[in-house]
Amino acid sequence: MTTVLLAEFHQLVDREWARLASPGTWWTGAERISIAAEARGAARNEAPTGVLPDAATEAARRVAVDAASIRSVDIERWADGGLDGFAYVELVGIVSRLMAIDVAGFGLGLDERSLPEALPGEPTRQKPDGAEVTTGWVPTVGPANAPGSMSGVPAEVEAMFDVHGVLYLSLEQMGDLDIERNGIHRTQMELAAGRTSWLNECFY
Amino acid sequence: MLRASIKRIEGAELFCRTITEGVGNCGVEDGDAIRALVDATVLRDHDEYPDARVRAEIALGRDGADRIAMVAGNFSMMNRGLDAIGAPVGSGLDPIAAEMGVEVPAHLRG
Repeated sequence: MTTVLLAEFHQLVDREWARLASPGTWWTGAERISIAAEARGAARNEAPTGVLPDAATEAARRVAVDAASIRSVDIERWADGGLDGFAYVELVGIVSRLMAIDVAGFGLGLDERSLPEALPGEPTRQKPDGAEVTTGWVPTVGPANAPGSMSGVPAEVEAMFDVHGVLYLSLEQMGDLDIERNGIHRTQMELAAGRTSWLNECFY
Repeated sequence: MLRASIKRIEGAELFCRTITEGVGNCGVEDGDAIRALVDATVLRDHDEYPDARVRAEIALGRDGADRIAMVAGNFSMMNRGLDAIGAPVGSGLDPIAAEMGVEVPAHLRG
């Protein structure tokens, strides 16, 4: 039986698949899908596909299954291997949103949806004004914090907040410490958030 | 956010260490069912998921269990995004880290 909530989830996946298939800021649609495929392969403990350059392959797999082990030296090494910092930010956005959808989908009892077919076109290669390495390891506009983590690639920020709003809370809802969604109080949502972070070895 | 939101519930008290230890009453209503579903979902544990899902649906209802799974998905995204870009962890989180029995790694100190 499809509920309103499940329908919202499926609509979110539709939007994410459309984004994934389209040319991004630094990667083509085909490359974006290859990044997602590599991430899914890592989550399934499958061998690398070899479709992407080595640096992008390793980065996609590490972000998917072992993000807590990534250090600044890894990002420098991947840059030496041809993975530009801005392109890395887009890769992180692609993989992290795919993991959000695949993890949530598992918890909802759904089968993984097949990745989409790529759409033609070239990436825009546009850098936002003011993007630079500040408090984190990659270019951001302002500090490298939760809302600003993807700010070196604005399209990825927009996509991140789309997922955030459907799965958890919109930015407008974030300040409401008494909010309930689907009968779940904010405190119960925060317990789920805290336990997830613990399982992912994340300290934020 | 967990600490701030539980203050809105009269009489509720948070026991942070149970979040990391995975056992015991954390002080959040239906906390055990939530924790079990989050564990099975994040770890994509096919063995544990069926029982965890049923327990969560009994405690929270179908939509409530779905919301918990979706929150686990969201933070699987946020965790990766922050870890992968080296967002620093401020010293303001040290007290709660100590309460949870964890130490923030040096490479996240910025």
